Amino acid sequence: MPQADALTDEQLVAAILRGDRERFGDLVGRYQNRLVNYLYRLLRNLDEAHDLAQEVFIKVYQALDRFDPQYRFSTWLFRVAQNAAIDQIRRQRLKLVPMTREGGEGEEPREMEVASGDPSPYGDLRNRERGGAIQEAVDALPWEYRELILLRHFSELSYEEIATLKKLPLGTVKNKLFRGRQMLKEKLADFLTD
Amino acid sequence: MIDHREYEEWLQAELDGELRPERRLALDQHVAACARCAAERAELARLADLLTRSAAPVRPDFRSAVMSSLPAAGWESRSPRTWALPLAMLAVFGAAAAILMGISAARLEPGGPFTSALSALGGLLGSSLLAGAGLVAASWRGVGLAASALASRSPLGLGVLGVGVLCLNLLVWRLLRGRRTAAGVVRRGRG
Repeated sequence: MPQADALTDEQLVAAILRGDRERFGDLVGRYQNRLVNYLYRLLRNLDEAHDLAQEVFIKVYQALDRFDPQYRFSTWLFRVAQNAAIDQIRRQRLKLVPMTREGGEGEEPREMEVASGDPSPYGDLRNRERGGAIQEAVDALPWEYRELILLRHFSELSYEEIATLKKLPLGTVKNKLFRGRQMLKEKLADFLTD
Repeated sequence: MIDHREYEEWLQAELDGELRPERRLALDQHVAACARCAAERAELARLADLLTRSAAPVRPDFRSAVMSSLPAAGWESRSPRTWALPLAMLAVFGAAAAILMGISAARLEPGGPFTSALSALGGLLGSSLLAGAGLVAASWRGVGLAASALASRSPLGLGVLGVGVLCLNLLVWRLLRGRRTAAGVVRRGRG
């Protein structure tokens, strides 16, 4: 059996359906960063993002025989994830829990950080500042732009995959990404200068 | 006049790895001569870098947690859908019925009540089949008459008829083709 890196998602799915269950671990490894970060940006809580990502992978595994190979696996996975996130957000709203960045009851609010090679206290503070600013800038985007920015930058989907997932024309996807990035640049101007 | 908006779109496509190769040279030449677009390229790269570096770390045991919580049941335990079993059952039941009917017929006395009942049942079945065939033939004849009337009235009618027939064919093709699934593809691959 070839290495997982040499196989496409669809080939991995076929191998799993033939009984090679361990290949699903390769798919999880391939998508875990993108999926957790996509959900993290939507839910604003890393623990919840991990839990929901796990649920999404299990849901996808259970329905693997119904995967239509004429579509991309990534498109299918993120559609399941998007629906699961929307359901979770609805449930949270029903419970009247405010959408904050808090990790949970009794926990301190956790600022998002940006990885940096600067280990000094000043650098650490700057990273926290940046992380918070990025999250605020992304949150401030209108939903239609925000979700495309998330799908492109955190889920790393191509224009075509986003167009399929969102059922939008390719030109609309490009325009919205363009507009969304312009808005982000304006909001993050302080961090984009040399 | 230079359309910076178009070059800005190309710069975004470049950032996403979606710039068409034939535009690469034109974009590089333009950026080399345009300070505004050069600054835009640098700013976009910094924005992408900022977003990438803000990614949260995934728990080291995430993958193993998913794999250990995968359900054992689901599609794995479902046998693939195939016509082999229903056809085999039909053949077995058909053969058994034929044998039983043959044995019964051999034991029946000619002119007896069972023979008469069987012959009446056969007659009823035959009449029903004839009546059904007559109805189908009449329906199709009606459709044929309506179609020929529509076709002979005007070229537009002929066109409408043609489109109707095409749509019907597409519908039948779509129904026969069914939905492709990964499991179906794997089964076909095995076959």
